[in-house]
Parts: sequence; C-alpha cells; structure tokens
Amino acid sequence: MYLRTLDVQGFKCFGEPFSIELHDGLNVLVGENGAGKTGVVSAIRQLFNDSESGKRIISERDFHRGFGKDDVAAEEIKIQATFSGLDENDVIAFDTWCGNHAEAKLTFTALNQESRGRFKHHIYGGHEYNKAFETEKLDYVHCVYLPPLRDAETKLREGRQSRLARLLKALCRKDIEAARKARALHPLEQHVGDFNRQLSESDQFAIKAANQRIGDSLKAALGAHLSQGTMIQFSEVSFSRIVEGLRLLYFPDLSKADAAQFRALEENSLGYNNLLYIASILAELTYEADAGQGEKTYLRLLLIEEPEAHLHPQLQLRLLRHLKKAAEARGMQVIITTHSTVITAAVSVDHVIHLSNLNRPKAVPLRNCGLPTQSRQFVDRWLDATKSNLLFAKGTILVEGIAEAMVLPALAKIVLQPFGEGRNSLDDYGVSVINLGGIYFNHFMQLFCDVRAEHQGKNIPVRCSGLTDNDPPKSVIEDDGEDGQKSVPFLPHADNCIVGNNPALGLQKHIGLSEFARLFAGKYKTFEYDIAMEGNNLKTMLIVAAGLWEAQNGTVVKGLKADAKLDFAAMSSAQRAPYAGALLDRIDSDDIGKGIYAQAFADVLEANGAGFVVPVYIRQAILWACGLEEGAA
Amino acid sequence: MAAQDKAAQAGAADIEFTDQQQKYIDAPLDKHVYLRACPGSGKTEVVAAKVCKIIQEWNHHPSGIALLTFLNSATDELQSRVHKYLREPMGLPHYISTFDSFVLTHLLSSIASEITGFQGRDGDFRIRIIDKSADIYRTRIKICGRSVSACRYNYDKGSKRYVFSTNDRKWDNEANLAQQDEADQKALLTNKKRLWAAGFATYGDIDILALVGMQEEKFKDYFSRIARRFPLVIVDECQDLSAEQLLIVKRLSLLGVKFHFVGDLNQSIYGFRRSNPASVRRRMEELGFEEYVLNENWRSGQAVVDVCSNILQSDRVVGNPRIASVKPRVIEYQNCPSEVLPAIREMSLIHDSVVVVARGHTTLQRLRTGRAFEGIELLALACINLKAGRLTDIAQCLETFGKWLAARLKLQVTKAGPYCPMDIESKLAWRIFLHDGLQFLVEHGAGDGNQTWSDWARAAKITLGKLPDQTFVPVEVREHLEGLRGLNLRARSGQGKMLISERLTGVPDVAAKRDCLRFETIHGVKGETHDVTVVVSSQKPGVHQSHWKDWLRDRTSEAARFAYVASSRPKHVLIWAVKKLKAEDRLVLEGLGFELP
Repeated sequence: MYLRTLDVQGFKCFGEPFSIELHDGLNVLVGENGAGKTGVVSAIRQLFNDSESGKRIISERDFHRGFGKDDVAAEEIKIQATFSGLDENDVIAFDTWCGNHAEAKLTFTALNQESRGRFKHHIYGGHEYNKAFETEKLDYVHCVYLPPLRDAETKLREGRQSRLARLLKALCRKDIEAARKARALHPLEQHVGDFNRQLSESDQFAIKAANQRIGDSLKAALGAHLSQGTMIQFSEVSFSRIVEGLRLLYFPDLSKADAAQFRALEENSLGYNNLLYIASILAELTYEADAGQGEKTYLRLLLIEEPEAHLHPQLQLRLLRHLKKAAEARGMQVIITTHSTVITAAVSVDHVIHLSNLNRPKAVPLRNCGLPTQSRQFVDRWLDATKSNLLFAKGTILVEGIAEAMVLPALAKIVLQPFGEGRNSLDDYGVSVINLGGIYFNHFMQLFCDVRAEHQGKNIPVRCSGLTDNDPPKSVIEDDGEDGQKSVPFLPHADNCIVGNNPALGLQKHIGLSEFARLFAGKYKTFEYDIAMEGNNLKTMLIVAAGLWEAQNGTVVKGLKADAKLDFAAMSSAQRAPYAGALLDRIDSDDIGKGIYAQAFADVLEANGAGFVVPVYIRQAILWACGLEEGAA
Repeated sequence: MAAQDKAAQAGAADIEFTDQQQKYIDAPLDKHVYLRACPGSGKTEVVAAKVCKIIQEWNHHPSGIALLTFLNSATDELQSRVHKYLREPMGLPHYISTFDSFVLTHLLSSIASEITGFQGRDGDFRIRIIDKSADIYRTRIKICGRSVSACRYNYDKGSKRYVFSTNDRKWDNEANLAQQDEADQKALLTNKKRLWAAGFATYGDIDILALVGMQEEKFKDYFSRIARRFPLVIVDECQDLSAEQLLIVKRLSLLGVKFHFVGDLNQSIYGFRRSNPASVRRRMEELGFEEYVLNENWRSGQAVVDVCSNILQSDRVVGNPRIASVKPRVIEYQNCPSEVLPAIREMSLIHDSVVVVARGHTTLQRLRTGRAFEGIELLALACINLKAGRLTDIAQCLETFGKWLAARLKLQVTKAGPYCPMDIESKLAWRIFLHDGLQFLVEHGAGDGNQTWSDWARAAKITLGKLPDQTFVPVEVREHLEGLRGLNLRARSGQGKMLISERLTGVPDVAAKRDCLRFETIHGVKGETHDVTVVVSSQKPGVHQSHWKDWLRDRTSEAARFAYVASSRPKHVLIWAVKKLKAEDRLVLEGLGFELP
C-alpha cells in the first residue's frame, strides 16, 4: 500500500487545485526554492499523527493568500490523499476508507473560521463523507517527519521519549507485554533493581551514608510526621525510566575499542550525529516491518526534508542508497525534498518529481515525461551531479561540449548587456549552462518537450535551449580543372551553405512546436567557425590564437597577427570564410586544442566584449532560456 | 446472582464459572453457535468473558469480531463489562454497537448513494434516520382516504404487501386489511424511493437497502471484503432479530461469516418490530447452529422459576438454591389497579428494589394517577413541573412540551432533540428554546396549580399567541410557531371548573420517591433484576394483551412471553395484581404455582 496521489487546495502556496502523483518506494522532490516542496510535505503531515515531530496544528498562515492587490485568504483548505496498491490485509484494515473501491481515500478539510484559537477542521475516510471517522484507524499508518534543520544531538539525548528509549521499547515490546501479564519484572528491571539495592545497601560506596545524612537532615527539619522518605539510586525500577536514562556514545570508526573509550555525542561531528539520528529512526521503522511487531502498521511513511543537511557528498550518496534500499525492501514509502545535485544524480529519473511555481504550482514526475527506455537509461547514467543542475534552474541551455559551456556565459553578457545592471548575466536569470558532452539532445530535451511525435509525455515547465552545430561535410568533391576530381575542404559562407549531417537537426522542427523547448543550430559549420564569420569577430579571435601558439616568434604567429589587422567587417561573407577555416585548423591543432582556446577566448570576452557580434542562433538560444523576447530591452 | 456479586470486586481471573458457562467460553469460533440462556443465567458476564478471551487470543488482525446488541444501553453495559476484564476498552479491529448501527455503518453507508441515487447535501452523504413521527414524502395516491408518509410503511416479505404503521391504530388496521393491487404497490415503492433519494431512511429501510446491495453483482467484492473484515459476529438478544435482519445474517454466513447467537427465544417481545422467534429458530436450524445451554437461574428462588416455566410450559430450570424460595402471590383489586399500591408500598419498606410492571403506558399511567394524561393536560403538566423547579425533571418537561408542540403544530420532527423539527440544525438551540418558551409560559402564570382549567386555558392561549414574537425565539424556529397565534385552547369537557392541582398532583415525585416504587413497561425491565416484581394485569382481557388470561391462552404467543419476561425479574417475590377472580380462574392460577388470597 502506498500514497499515490495528493490533492491540495487552499493550503499554503496551493491556491488553485494542485495534484501530485507519488509512487511506491523512494520519491525525490526537486525544484527551486518556493516551488512548493515543503508545502507538499506539510500537507501530508496534516493528515497523519507524526510520531517524531508531533501533530501539526492548522494556523492562520496555512490558508492560501495570493499576492494580488485584492486577494483574500482562502475560505477552506482541502487535502485529499488517495492510496493505491492495497493488498488483501490493507483492504480489510482500511475498509471504511475504501468503501466499494479498490483505492482508499482520506480527506482533511479546515474552514477559515477561528474559534477559541483553533480552526474548525474535519477529517473523513472514504470516497465521500458518509459516516463518522474512526480516529484509531490513523494508528495503522506510521508517519515520521524529519525537519530540515534537525538538532540531532538534542533528539538523541537521554530523557523522556528519547529516540533510544523509543527504539528500545519497540524492540522489547513483546517481552514487556509478557512480563506485565505474568506480573513479573522484566529482566532489565530486575537487574537495575538489584543494582539499586546494591548501591544503597553496601557500605563500599558512599551512597548509603549519603542517604542516611539526607534522611536525617530532612527529619530534623520537618519532623517525623511531615518528612518524606528519600533514596538515591540509579533509576526508578521501570523499563521506561531505565531506557530513558540511557545515552548513546560513539567511536570514530569500527576498530575494536573498549567500551570505556566511547564518547558522548556532543563531541561528535554534526554530520555524523545526523546520520546516527536518521539511522535510529530507520532502525525502529524497519524493525517494525521485519518482526511484525508492535502496533499493527499497514503503511510506513518517512518524510525527510533535505537529508543532505550537514553531510558531505559521499555521505549523502551513502544515505540515499540506504534509504532507497530500505524503502524497497521493507514496504516503506520515503518522500524526500532536496536541493542536492548529488542526491538527484544518484537516483533514477523514475524517482524524481519536479516542482515548479511559475504562475501556479505544478508537479511533474519525470517518469511521465515520455522518455523511451533507451533515453531513460541514458539519462540515468549520464545525469551526474553537474547535469542535475538542470532540475533546479529557471532556464537551461544545453550545449555539446566544454568549449560552448565555457564561452557561452561570456557571450550571454554581451547579448544581455542592454537589459542593465542586475539583469545582464545568465546568473541573474537563474539560467544554467549544461554540458551534455555530446549530441545527446534527443535524450535530455525529452524532459522539457516531446522531441518526436511518437514520444508523448509531460514536460518540465522550464525553458530549455539546445545549442548545436550545423556540421556540414568536411570536404566536397570538385573538378580539379584537369578532367579529374579532387576533394576540397568545404568552407560555408552566406551564399554557400548546406544543411549539415548533424542528426539533431531533424529534431528542430518538432521541438520548435513545444511550449518550453527550442533547438538552435548554427548556420554554417561549427561553434567557433560560426562566431568567426560574424562582423569583426575574427580580429579578436585571431589575436587569442596568436597568444596561445607555442612558437611565439614563428611564422604562424606572425601570420595570425598580420591577419588580425584586416578589416573583416568590411569583407563579404565569402571573403571571411577562408580566414575562419584557417583559424579553425589552428584551434584544432595539437598546439592549442578547443578547450584551451575556449578558456582564453572566454577570458578575453569577459574583459572586453564591446563590438563583438554574437551569431543569431546563439543570441536566440540565450534570450529563449532567459525568457526574454527579441528587442525587449 | 452469586457469580455476579463476586464480579463486582474482581476481574475475570477471580470469577468461577460453572461447567455450563465455561463450556460456552471455550466454544469454537469457526462454527455457528446458539447460546440459549434462561433468565438470570449470568449471560452478560459469560458473554463478556468469552469476548475477552477471544480478543486476548486474537491473531487475525486487521480482521476483528463484531459484538451486536439491540439497544444502546445494552451496548454500553457490555462495553463496560469487557473493559473491566480487558483493562482497556474494546477497540479496533473489534467493533461493538447495535445491529442497526452495524448494518448502517459497515454494510450500507459506503454504497448507499449508489443504490439510492442520493446526491449528498453539500458533500455530506450521511443518511438521516427518521421514524414514523416524521410525516415527509407522502404518497401521491390515497390509501383508505389518506396519503401516507414514506416513513410509515414497510414491505413485509411474508405477506407480500406493504404494512402500515402510523400513529392512528384504527386507520392502520383498516389499511392493512384493505386490498393492495400492483398499482398501489408500485406507487408505494416509488414514494419510498423518493425518500431514499433525498437521503432519508427508517431503520427498517436500512435493512432492506442493505439486502438490495447484497444481491447485486457489482457489490460482490465489497461484501466479500466485509465478510473477511468480520469473520465472527456475536449477536446478543438474538430473539429480537427481524425477518430482514435474519436474511442479512444468512447472506453474510454464505460469505463465510460465523455467528454466535446469544439469547432466549422465550423472551422475544418485539413483535411490533416484526421479530418472530419461530423465524429465528428456523434460520438457526437452516444454517446449522450448534446449541449450548445455560439453564441455571442464579437470580431467583425456585418457586419463582417454576411459575415462569409453567407460564410457557417449558423445560424445568434450576433456581438458585441460596435464595429462599418464596411462593409467588396474587393480589386482587376491585376496580382500578392503583388499589394495590398501598400494599405494594409496604413491601418496599422491607425490600430495596420494588418494581411495578405493566404491559402498556396506559396501564402504567392509570397506576400512577388513575388515568392517562392527554392533550392540554400535557402542556399544563410541563408548566407545573418546570415551576416546581427540580433539575431532574427539566428534561422530562422539555420532552413533554416538545411533544405537545409537535402534535399541535403538526411539525416534522425527529424523536431526538427532543421532538426537534428536522430542518433545525442545532438540537441545543431547540432545547434552549423549549426551556425559554416554557419559562415564558410559567412567568405568565401557566405554572400555577391553583386555578381552574378554564382560567388556565384562557391565560395560556394568550401567552402562547405572543410566543412567536419573543426575542429568545431563534429565527429558524419562528416560522414554525405561526400556528400558535390563532390557537384554540380549551379545558377538557366537564373539567372547566376543576382545579388543575387536583388532577396533576400525585404525579410521581422522582426525587422524593427514589427509594420506593418504580413503574415500568415490560420492555423497560428487560434484563433487570429486582427484589420484588409486581406484574399488573388489566381489567379486561382481549385489549392489547395486558390481561393475564391473554398471557395464558396460547403458550406460544407473544403475550405469554410478555408474562414470562416480566415474571422472571424478581429475586425474592413475584406478585401478580389482577382484578377480582372468579372461582375457576383461581384454580388456573393456583395450578400455575401461585398462592392466592
């Protein structure tokens, strides 16, 4: 049994009816801040009694209120959960929540009418409200919530209802029951009782004497009639009190250490304490599932906000893998919200749900994006921590290689310059440049649009530009003027360009029909070539190349510097072509290489990009990703 | 009962059950069982112990047992007994409630709107239960000159016709004998369906709707699931099951549910609700119930037990040897049963609980005051009692006033409230209004017993006419009260010059007479133990089966069972109060085991 759908309305940021589809096992909610991730978790908590953080009370701020001038607070909150995958036992346990259907429903409503500091609320099970609610049924669901800013140390500390006490009580539940029935003491109680007696009766420890003194002193002060009896001992002889006094100690690694060497948690690292805390929660939850112990539980829900808090990437990974395994092995549904690209990279896209809040909150499970199996496998393998950025950005530009990735931000500065300070860089728009490392647009862009007509699916409502090369054949066959043919390098220009061999080009048309995605291709040849073919760009580009050439005093550098003095702006496109071609050869050579060139080129552009002409297709890609219209400045 | 006294101090561990009782406690759960328990056999204690044992050994979670009774008071009683044994209340997955509640909540609620077409009220799909005091959804055709409310008839499978039950017995008899052709039945059914589609139903309708659901293919899985949810159902007082309820039992047993019936067919006295012990016995035979017996009566002395056995001519039952066996007596009255009261009151000086039992409210009222109260007397009664100011009487005053208003103004009411009009949401608001209204009347002199009926009626009429305009009247109530403006209130004929107090004093002062006599109907004393029980016979036989000859005429009749239930209440002394006997009648009663004057 698992929570399949959550419908929320009027609650927190969910003004319009909002719906999110979860699945069994691990669910990872991603999205930028303010998208509604915590809202979803709060809505789930509102339905159940959370054993870790307590019952959630509705407050005035929970009623949605828009930011428009005349917006008023919502009159009603409605949260409805639909549960699916019920087996025979679940269906009997939640009979009234199912009624005559296969799925169970639970609905919570609250009215925006305050009475004695509380808001009128109402909860009912079933597909319609047709009978009073049996609150005991909520105990069949064990829900645990871990907030984002956790104080693991306090939670693990000894004291009433400490984590340890709860875990131990859960582990020993059957034994405690048996002992109570037989009206005997549990072995632990027995032991502590004996130890207490030992302490207070033996003359070896000062305790007996101390007891005597205290007793005498009290009697002297209050008289025998009013005086109370006192006793110093280790703990009350009750299982609860005993385990509540227990403390968890740690040792930094698993090497054999003596019990006395273990230290208190205050000395432990923040991150490790967090792990211990989460581990203790999982221990209790999984023990329940394994041993069929304790309260009858038919659904285990673990809600964790930002599990990555306080953990470095490798530990984040370990924790996530463990959560995933626990979720699958023991019928637990785990819902986490995260900002960590490490975590999103570590799970399959099938587990990820993207939340956004453009004009209204929207949840898009990535498994519904219509990724064909091959694409999904590809994305799963290639969506590493850096690429995962695309799940948190406000806009993305997908590029083929490291060169584009490095140069693009600098080019963007030039394109966005007219929009003024604070709006003139990709960062200002929350746009990320993602290096696909190849022509993999068909796989990744499927998340944002239907790449082909036959792959239909939902789209992440975030703007995505793809940037690719025309990539025509490197050479053409020409007459050599002697009744023969020779192969000549093909250098396209404004009057002579042909559609290239890039397989991605065929996708352009269909992608262009979508709401959020566009694929822009160069007109001529490759990234550097196309840039070189515009305006006076060659001037700057040749100088950069000259600066990078190994033999600074040789002919190549001399030639480059000489060419740099030419007035390219005045030339025709056909005239520039050979220079662009030559430049390309230099860049591709062993002396420089695309990566090094791009780095130097980007530096130069950052320093002074005035007068530089950005090719139309790159310009379009940048504006599209930033959500800007041409001429909007 | 000896065992019961012990139980008062201790938990289950300290009770010693007899072999008979233990045999049932150990009975298997995978078979249908009928526990036949004679009066005073400690049935409630045994059932509580059995349930406790079942719960402690239960390992079929999330399935559970259902423990069903027929009265909320019985449910409360069993719940507290089980709580005492288990040291915690009976909770999920086990369920305790009345049979009606079970059918409504677990069988019908979830599928009701699909069957009836009810669209809900603002998302609220709960069915509102009403009884025949409501008068809504009347038939479009006329039956015996009247259009009848859908709440006042039910279909009887046995006679294959609709049976009417309004508050007018004469009309009921006429209509129930009249011809009922197909067109009539169709119209009656259509009217019922209108009632259901509006989200209303009587308890009888609930059973029928549940049966409709159980017959439809599309609900097959749903009911199978319910059968798995409650693999064992224990029904207390099984003799009170109606024909429809027995059919529900059969359908559930076909789905695998096992039943434990507990009760005594000899104590079946709910014929007016159409339960028939012969049908129960037939059904149990059909489904193969295994019988367990509790036939040791711990409540009464042997002589009382023997008289009871003689009333029904049933098997001998063993009485409690530790209770002195006092021969039951007959006391005669000349004209009115109230003549025996002084003698009875003397008895109450020696014994603690002395209860006077009569077949109907009318006989009871006669006992109390010589004649029943009607109409305007009810209103006066309410006013006078409110003025007397006893807190314990207030609820009764409100109910009397509510009943009078409902009848006089012809309001559509639900019995709860009390007599609260159906369209008024808050029962609390209604009760506050009733109190304020009565208070208003009393302030204007209606609570003064020292006036004649004529004077009182005149003053009351004027005051009532002003009632709708008072500020304390809630808006929703105001429109209902319009009928009070032109109201005609008149003293009963011949009483105009009589003082009110003459008629109305002698009404039992509950507080003062708490330790003296109780007056109850037979239905009111079911399951009880008294020290002394006085069963009052009416003056003439043949009217509503309240005469002892009616009781003895046919040993298999419900009248005989009335006598049996009433006579099996006392621990020590059983008394029958009868009209002066003829010689041959004396012999009959002597033969039964009575001592005559």
